[in-house]
Amino acid sequence: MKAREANVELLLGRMVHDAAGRKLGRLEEIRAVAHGGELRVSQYLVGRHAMAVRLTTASLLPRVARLLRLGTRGSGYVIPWSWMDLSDPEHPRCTRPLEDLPDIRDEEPPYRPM
Amino acid sequence: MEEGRRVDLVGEVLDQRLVDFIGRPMGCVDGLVLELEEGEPPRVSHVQTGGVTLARRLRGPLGGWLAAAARRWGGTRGEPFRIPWERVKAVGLDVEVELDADATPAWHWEHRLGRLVAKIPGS
Amino acid sequence: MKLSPRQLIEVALGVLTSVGGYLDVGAVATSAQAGAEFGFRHLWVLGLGTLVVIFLVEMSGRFAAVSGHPLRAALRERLGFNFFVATSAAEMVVGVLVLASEIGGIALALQLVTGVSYRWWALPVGLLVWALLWNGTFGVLEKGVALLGLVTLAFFFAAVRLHPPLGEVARGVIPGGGGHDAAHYWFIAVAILGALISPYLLWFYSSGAVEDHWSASDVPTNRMVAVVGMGFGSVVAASVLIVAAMVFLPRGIVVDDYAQIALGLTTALEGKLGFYLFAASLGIACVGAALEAALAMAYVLAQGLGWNWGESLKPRRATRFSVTYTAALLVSVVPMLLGVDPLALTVFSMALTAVALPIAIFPFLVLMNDERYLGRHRNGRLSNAVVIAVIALAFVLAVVTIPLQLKGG
Repeated sequence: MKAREANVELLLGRMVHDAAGRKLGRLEEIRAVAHGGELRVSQYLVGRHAMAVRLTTASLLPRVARLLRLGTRGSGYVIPWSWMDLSDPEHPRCTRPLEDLPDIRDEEPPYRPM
Repeated sequence: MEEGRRVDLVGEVLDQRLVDFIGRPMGCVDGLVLELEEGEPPRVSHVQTGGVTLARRLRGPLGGWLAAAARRWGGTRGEPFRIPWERVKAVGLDVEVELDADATPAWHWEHRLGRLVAKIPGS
Repeated sequence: MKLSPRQLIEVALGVLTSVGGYLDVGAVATSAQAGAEFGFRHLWVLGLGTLVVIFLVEMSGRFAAVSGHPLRAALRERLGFNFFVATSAAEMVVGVLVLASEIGGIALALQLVTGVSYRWWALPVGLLVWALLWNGTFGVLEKGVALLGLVTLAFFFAAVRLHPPLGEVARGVIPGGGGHDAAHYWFIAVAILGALISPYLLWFYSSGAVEDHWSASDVPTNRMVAVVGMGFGSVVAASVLIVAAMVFLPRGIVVDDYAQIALGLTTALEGKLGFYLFAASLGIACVGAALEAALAMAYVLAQGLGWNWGESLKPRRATRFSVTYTAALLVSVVPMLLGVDPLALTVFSMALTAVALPIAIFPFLVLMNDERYLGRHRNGRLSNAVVIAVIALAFVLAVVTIPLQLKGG
């Protein structure tokens, strides 16, 4: 049986809802980890804060976050891979309510210098 | 890729330049395919590149027009050109793949226009 | 700062390039109008524009030298495909108009010298620019245009010979207003800034750094090139303004065609030599600017879509790239063929460039702070402050340009 597929470039920017149908934010980043020669998704980042994380770098982020008043509850979420339902790629769904999600502020910024 | 390395698919892979086995530009990472299996973390299975992939990213009439053009004149007859992830050698500022650009649809138009260009003196 | 002999040559050439390429049809037109109508009172605007360009050019060069990627290429990589498509579409449209203006400048220079209408010169000029791109390499074009561009120093010597009152010149360097005709004064100020702060110059310079194989060790060289090169260029632009102020203002002549500007140089340099020097200066400066604009458009498309690119490559080694600048030239010859007024088109395309400027500069803020591309060569606080100030200035220009054009144009 052919495994199902999803395209990262088409998921980008889609609004993600939680189990109760509430808006979590737009999908801005997909984090992956290399294991045994394969690259597997670990987390999905959604929301305004996630977009700021993608556009700025570790050094600028705290200042930008203050400026845009990010970092408040609701400005971004981290969704572990097992809680994301991609059966409808145009409407990605988190399988848990937003109260269960870790706060994006607790996550470290993505960029590592080369 | 070393074990445990963390990669941001949108920020570090998507839209980065693609280079072939001798460093020649082969386009960009226009798309990334995730293979979804029940109970398993999604696996990055392919890099996608080319006009068809780009056309699908554009919302509105421009995307439709580009897709039709790619079907008629493109190198892959309307199918997105896919590179298996196993062929990816390195992910840095460029994504390096173990392929020869000349042998892929990525340079289809480069070659087609080459025939026209060769007719003009000085090329 | 110790520079090796090789680096000194690089600096000298870079400086010459900037001088040759800095002056273009927009700079000549706006500086001449400014001098003719408001005397020396726009000199501070030239200074401000030059300062902004120096900072932006230095950043564009530094980015390309350290990362090996031209700035505009990284725009898609960091800011995404949709942003790239939107900005590139706009820049292509405006770029064609700018290119058309530069072709108009060359054609007008030929009209001045031969008396044959610029409309007949449009096609041969387009062909000349194309042939230079098709057959030349980046290095040859860079040095050739730069050397020829020294002719524009004729304006400097003209300005000196006219003995401008230094007290008044000094007062013009201090920011001031237009007094009675404020709307028109500010319109010209905005036009000058639009002419000087050209995104195409930045994309061209950044790609050029990659074509010349600059690396991180060229960062100090790049800084020197930016400061001295653009500084020199601004002296020439200021000279155009001063000549116009000395020759036209006392006589109340309003500049609305290039023949009048030629008259200015003729008066200043006593006779026919001045006339021919003006035509040569205008023509050469516009050839440089046309090459720059055509290449800039090809760079944007090729780099954003991952094609192989490079003026240093023979056309059949970069076919999509070569076809792009060929197509751009084909389209931009059309306005002049149809008889569009070159001066009017210049002012119009400068205004459009000004409107698009904030979006063109915004990526600097993201890209110049990126650790992956720049490492320890990232922007410091001063540079970031400058970028934010420039974006703010660009917003003001964008908002103010159209109303001013309608009211004071």
